[in-house]
Amino acid sequence: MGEFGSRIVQNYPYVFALALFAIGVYTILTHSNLFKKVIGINIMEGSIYVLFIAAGNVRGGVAPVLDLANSDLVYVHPLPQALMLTGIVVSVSVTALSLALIMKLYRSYGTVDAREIARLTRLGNEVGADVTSGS
Amino acid sequence: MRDFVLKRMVALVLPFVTMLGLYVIFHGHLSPGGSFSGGIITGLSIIAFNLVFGTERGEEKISERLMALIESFGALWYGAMGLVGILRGASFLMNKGAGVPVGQPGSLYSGGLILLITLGVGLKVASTMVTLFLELMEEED
Amino acid sequence: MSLVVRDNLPVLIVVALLSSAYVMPLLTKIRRFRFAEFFAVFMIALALSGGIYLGQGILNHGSFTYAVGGWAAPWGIELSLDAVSGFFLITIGLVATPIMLYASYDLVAEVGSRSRAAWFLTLFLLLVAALCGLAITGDIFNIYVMVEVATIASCAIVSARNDSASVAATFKYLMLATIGSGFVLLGIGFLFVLTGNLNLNYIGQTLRLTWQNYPTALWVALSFFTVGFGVKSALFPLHVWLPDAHSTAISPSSAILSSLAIKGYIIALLKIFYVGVGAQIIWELPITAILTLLGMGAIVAGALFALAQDELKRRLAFSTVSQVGYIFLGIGLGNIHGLTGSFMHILSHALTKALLFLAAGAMIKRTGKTRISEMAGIGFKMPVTLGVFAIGSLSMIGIPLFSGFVSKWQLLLGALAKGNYLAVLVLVAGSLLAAAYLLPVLRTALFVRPTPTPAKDEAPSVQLVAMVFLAALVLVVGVFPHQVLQLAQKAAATLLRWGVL
Repeated sequence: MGEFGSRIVQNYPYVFALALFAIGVYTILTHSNLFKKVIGINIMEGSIYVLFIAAGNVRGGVAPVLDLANSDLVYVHPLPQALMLTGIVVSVSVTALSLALIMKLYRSYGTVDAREIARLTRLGNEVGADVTSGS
Repeated sequence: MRDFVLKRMVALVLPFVTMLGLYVIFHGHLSPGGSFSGGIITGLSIIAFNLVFGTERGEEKISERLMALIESFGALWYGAMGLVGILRGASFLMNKGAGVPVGQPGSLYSGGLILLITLGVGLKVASTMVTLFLELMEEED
Repeated sequence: MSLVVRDNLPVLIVVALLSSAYVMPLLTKIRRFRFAEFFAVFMIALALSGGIYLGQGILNHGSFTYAVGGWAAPWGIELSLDAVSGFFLITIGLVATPIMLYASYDLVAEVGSRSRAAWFLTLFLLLVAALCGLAITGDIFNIYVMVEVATIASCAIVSARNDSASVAATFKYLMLATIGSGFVLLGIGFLFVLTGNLNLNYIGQTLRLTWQNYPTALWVALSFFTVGFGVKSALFPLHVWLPDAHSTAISPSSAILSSLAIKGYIIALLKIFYVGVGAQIIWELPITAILTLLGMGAIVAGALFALAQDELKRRLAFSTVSQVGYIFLGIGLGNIHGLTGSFMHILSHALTKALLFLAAGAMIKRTGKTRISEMAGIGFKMPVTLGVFAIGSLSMIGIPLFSGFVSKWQLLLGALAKGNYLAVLVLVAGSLLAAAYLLPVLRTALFVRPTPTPAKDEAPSVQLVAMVFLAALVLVVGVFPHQVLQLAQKAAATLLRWGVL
């Protein structure tokens, strides 16, 4: 195992995070089921949490809650954790918005398949009438 | 839902879940957790009530309109707390430097404005979760 | 009291807009709805005057910083008020106010119900607040939060009318924008890991000393930012969401999205590249060459796509893709003229595209026709609307005495100074193509007279006031560009200040 390999092994959380990120983006872009796209978004955001938390980790550190009685504790970096809490809030709101949109789409198109929806929209444009109104 | 066991169990557990949520909100500056996690727990207790007893009973307990009111109030409360620093001649969201008493470290009242802000954000998160759930539950407009 | 307001003005602008966004749902339940609309217009106009005041102050007395919560720079969130912030704040105010005024006329009828109208106002105010936040923040994670608020608000604002086409467009937009956010956040993570800082100035100082130790990691981070913000601001190969989203939304939504929302992401990109990383490092990596190429591709491809559209709003949406190319070309040129041109084009495209979308909306609303080929003789029916549309078109093409000329002239100077003659050629070709896709609209509307000349049927006067205001601004910037140009030059100089070290 050369120098490159040992660096990879030492930094395995980052490799793991980037692999997860790629899986997430691949899921969003290739699956035509809308729900699977939303799952892909959550995988992608999860990979970024891994990256940040790993960056703030200190081996042997404890949770960053100040212990007044015990002053020689080593704490992990609290800042990335606070940032990722914000990230989680953002991804919750994105997920909520996309689920609400999926429900609306299902009501007007009767399907949760992106290709089918695109086909129906094109059909509607060609006929010039709203094929979806009588759902 | 006509499940007797589920209803009794939920009725038994729900008050404690709500209490836990409020505990997490109030101790946000002392222990892990805070307004977001506590707000989610509180909101989930209301969602569980709606799921088990039906949205009509839920509407009787806390109406959707009240939820919207709390939602706006939580956000405005945060802004108002931020203005305290400005009104005392310091900068936005300033806490100790603006002369807010901060109390004894480690006790419940020890963060100055942080506790008040957490309370507002917790209410906002809880009511937002419930509103989102009700929006998604709603049948055809 | 007035001193207190002045000292805290940057944060007060954002807080006032955010608070009024959350007041909106309450106002609809308690008072008459008209009141809520007036309140929204009033708040945005107030923020506009605050922004102009700040911009004037920055121009005269130089930049300053504001520590939120009293925590100084490396620890707390720092708002950094420089010429870039001043310039973008003024742009937001000048464009958002007339759009809001235009929207307030028949909002309830346009979106379907009162509660939907209230949500529209909330989202609009949130979007404007997030853009103001992007303008003033000096903290990289704060940039991410504001970008997310702007993204979610602009996604939701597309589906304001709740018809199936716009919901489908919104979903597509949301998916791609979220991928963009993911890339941006990953890039922020890389910068944080590399420097241990979140403050842009501190990141810049650390990177200037240490970047040679890890050029690959920095290069990866910059690519993430380019792709992430490129998706969000519809840089050419990543623009696929824009035509659907901007053409199916209601006209005020299209106007604010096309004119301001995508510019906010460009401002964020500029701040990260030039303040966070620094001009010297940017020039050493091939990033500027890539941005130049992408910008030139966007100018030509967007214009060619626009030519193929018969639907008026779709043509305008593709024209946005083309015009965003100009801004990225200026960033890619990277010299003082190029960046000044980018800033000027941010302002001039914001004014012009808002004007065009609002005028197009008024025409579609009055006649019910969405296709250019059906619009024969509209000029006789709505002379004022068509007049402002003509002003917008001429400015978009870049005729002298209109605002578009000022920005394109600066870009030309930048390209010549850099010796990039391909860029010169593309700039000229872009103007010709813009003439090719905008002038036929005018020709059909003004010179094809239908046999019974239609009776005059103008847009409502409130909407006319908004459009005439924008048209007047286009002319003022075009004829007396001195003040604005000075601010834009100052903004460009602010970004380049580390390059001369």
